[in-house]
Amino acid sequence: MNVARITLRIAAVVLILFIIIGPLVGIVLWSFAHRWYWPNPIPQEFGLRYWQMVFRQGRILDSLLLSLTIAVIVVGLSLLFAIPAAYGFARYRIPMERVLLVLFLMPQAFPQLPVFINLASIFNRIGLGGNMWGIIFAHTMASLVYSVWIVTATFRSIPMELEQVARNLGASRLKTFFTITLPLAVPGIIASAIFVFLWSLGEFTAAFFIGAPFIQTATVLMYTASMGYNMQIASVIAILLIIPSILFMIIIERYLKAEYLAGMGG
Amino acid sequence: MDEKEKSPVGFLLLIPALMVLLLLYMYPLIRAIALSFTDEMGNFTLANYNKSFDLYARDILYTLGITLVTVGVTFVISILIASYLRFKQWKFLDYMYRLPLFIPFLIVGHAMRIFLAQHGTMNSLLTRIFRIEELPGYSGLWVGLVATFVWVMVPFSTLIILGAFKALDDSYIEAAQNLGSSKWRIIKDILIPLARPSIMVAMVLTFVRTISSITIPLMVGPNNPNMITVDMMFRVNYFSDWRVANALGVISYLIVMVLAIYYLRFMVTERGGLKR
Amino acid sequence: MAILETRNLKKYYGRVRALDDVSIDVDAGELLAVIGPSGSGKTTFLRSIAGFVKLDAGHVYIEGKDITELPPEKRDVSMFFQNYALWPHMTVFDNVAYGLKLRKMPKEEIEKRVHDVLKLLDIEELVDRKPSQLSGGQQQRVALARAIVVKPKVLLLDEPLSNLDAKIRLRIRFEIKALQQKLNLPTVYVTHDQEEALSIADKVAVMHEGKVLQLGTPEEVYKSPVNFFVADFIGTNCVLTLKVLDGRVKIGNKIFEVSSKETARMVVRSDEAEVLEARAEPGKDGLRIPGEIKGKLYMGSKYRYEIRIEESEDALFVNSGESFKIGEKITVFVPDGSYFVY
Repeated sequence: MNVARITLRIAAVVLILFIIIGPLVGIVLWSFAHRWYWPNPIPQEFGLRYWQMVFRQGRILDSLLLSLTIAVIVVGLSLLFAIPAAYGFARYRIPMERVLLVLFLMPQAFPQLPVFINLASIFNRIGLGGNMWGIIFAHTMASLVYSVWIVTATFRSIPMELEQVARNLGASRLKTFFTITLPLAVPGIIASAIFVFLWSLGEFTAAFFIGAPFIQTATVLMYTASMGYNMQIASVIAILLIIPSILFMIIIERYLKAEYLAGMGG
Repeated sequence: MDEKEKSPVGFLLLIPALMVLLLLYMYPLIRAIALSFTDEMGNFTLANYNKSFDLYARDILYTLGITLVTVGVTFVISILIASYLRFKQWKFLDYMYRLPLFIPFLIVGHAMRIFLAQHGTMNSLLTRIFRIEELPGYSGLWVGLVATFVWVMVPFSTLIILGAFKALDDSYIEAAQNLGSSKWRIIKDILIPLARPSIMVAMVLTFVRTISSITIPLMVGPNNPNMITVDMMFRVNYFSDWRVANALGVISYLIVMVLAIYYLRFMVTERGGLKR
Repeated sequence: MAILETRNLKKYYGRVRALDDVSIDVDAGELLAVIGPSGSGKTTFLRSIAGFVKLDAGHVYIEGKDITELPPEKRDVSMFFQNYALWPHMTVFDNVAYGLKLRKMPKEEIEKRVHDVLKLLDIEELVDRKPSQLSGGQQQRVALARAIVVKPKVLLLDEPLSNLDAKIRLRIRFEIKALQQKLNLPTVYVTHDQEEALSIADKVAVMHEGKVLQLGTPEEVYKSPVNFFVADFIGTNCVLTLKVLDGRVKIGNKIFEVSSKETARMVVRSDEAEVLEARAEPGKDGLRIPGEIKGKLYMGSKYRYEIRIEESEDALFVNSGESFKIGEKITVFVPDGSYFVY
């Protein structure tokens, strides 16, 4: 490698780091900043004050817990609906299969905001507005896109012969499903659970229109803080929400099938 | 000859998920359309649309503009990264470009607000390095908005396009190289045409996700003009005017209609959903 | 009484007839080979016995009991799948023990039977491995063990050797035959390899377009094929198209009466044919066709000759240990019983 090439490579690395990591470094710095005035490139005074504040203030901790609770329940519900549906798509001949598949993809192909706005106003009328379950139902609906598609693809990738052998040896369809199909589908199901979890955790729109101002998920609280120029608090929450994203991103690298991720990030 | 079973059980298994979709997606969707075409008395009217165009014609055009520029820039960058990674191994870039994939839009919005502001983290670094007094800020401007959109869209569209590029057999590329084609020509004449369906899907999804995003314009966009998602939110939150908000929603549906149909058809036919 | 009886099985996929009135019986300890080109319906036949294909008409009986409407799990027939279909998430032991566990056998009994069957197949040492750690041949044995350990009433083998190397295939062919005889299991063996079928079967069914064209012992099918398709499908053959004059065909020293109007086809078992010098007199009866060497390939132990004859546009391909020159006039000799005219 000659000098010009190495220089070019280093310049590229710096540029990429600047673009990708730069914005993230900004929030990390802000989360530790006690005092930060222009034009200092780093805060004048560092400290953990705002981190402590986040973990002491009940309101913020409650939001984080609320977000986690919602995400976990949404994962459960989403799989509960998606697994049977996916098995149906994968193993049965369904009348109007294509129409139904399209239906399951529609939330992804069209803007979701109008649906959430109207869902919020419907929920308000039936007492689900400002209620954790309202957000959970909205998230379950929207997350069915990933879970149904990922789990269907997983079931379809399991050769039918593996199930047929079991039937042939005397296992009923149900027994076959629980001893053969489901164990083999576990990786795909976990991948789908992770997508749904991350999506729900970072979702703002539905949480805002359905929950706010009565209950605030972490994202809604972060939005309020950021809008109120409470940069430190907003940054601490942001970091707490990013960590699982990046962790999972590394763990599930091999399940990254692009088409399923559309709509990720909210 | 392997037949899938023909049995009503299959449909029964779908019913719970289908009910969720019908109740929580189709019903609000139909309600949105219905409200947008009626007045308070429930009579048919186009007034909501007239009002939308009167108040927000500029915003609609602005939204379209921002979205198209985002799609264009995302296309160029994604093709560059995907082509590079198709020809060469570079683990660093391979990991880096995917890093933003799962970061929620809202948080990206917040990070970019800090990063791109006039006295933000980017400028405090750049002014130091280049010893300049002041640099313009970009958050609150269309440039910052597009930059943020591109930042969140590129990983995803690159992932799709690179996947398609990698699926192409080496022999196509080698045959072209053998005939004396340059790298640029190979990208233009071989990779892009052969990966066209996937590139289209990437661009369609970029378009839809950009035009339907509310968090990013809310966090980094200018106050005026606004993207229509923000207008919808204000219409609901400040004026409790669901009808005009829904008219704007229907307008955004109409804008993405053709693209969305293309995408749905592609996913269901080509991908078979779900090839076996 | 036959253990497995199939009566008038019919299965249509749209206009394609996968099974068109198929009736075959398999007796105790008998090995039936079903052969045919791909799409002939042989696999559909097998899968309909296992219950994976819903028949449009017909009945399947096992030990006299009608099992046509029973789901696959209630049939007590074991199927061996072409791709083995071993469960990747289970060890060899768990794979083999699965069927026994479903039968609610006591643990010790299961262990004993798994152990016995693995020993029978000479794969005891693999008991704790996962399928991904096995070679193709080992996987094949595990799949076989899993199928026979439950002591089924009928064993169904779908192309059991097609995924193995040519060298192992020959050996395993005999092992399967020996195993089947030892267990005295009525067996249906589906293959597209006619040589494999002839060597292993007690009874051969030749299928084409959903129909059974011929059912008989390997010798019957080989020596007296009922029609052109069977004659051509079995063995290594050359087909000659011949002109018909007044209901007759003349070739070499023979004349045949045929029913076809304009052209007839002759199937020649090229393995049985010999190339002789033009004026040589073979000691036995048979068909002698004068011809001329047009091409010659060296095949190691012998030569392969392309031979032109007057009576047909088609060339004959015959192997011979003797060397002839291109252009040389020769006689092709085919012993009686090794050529068929239709």
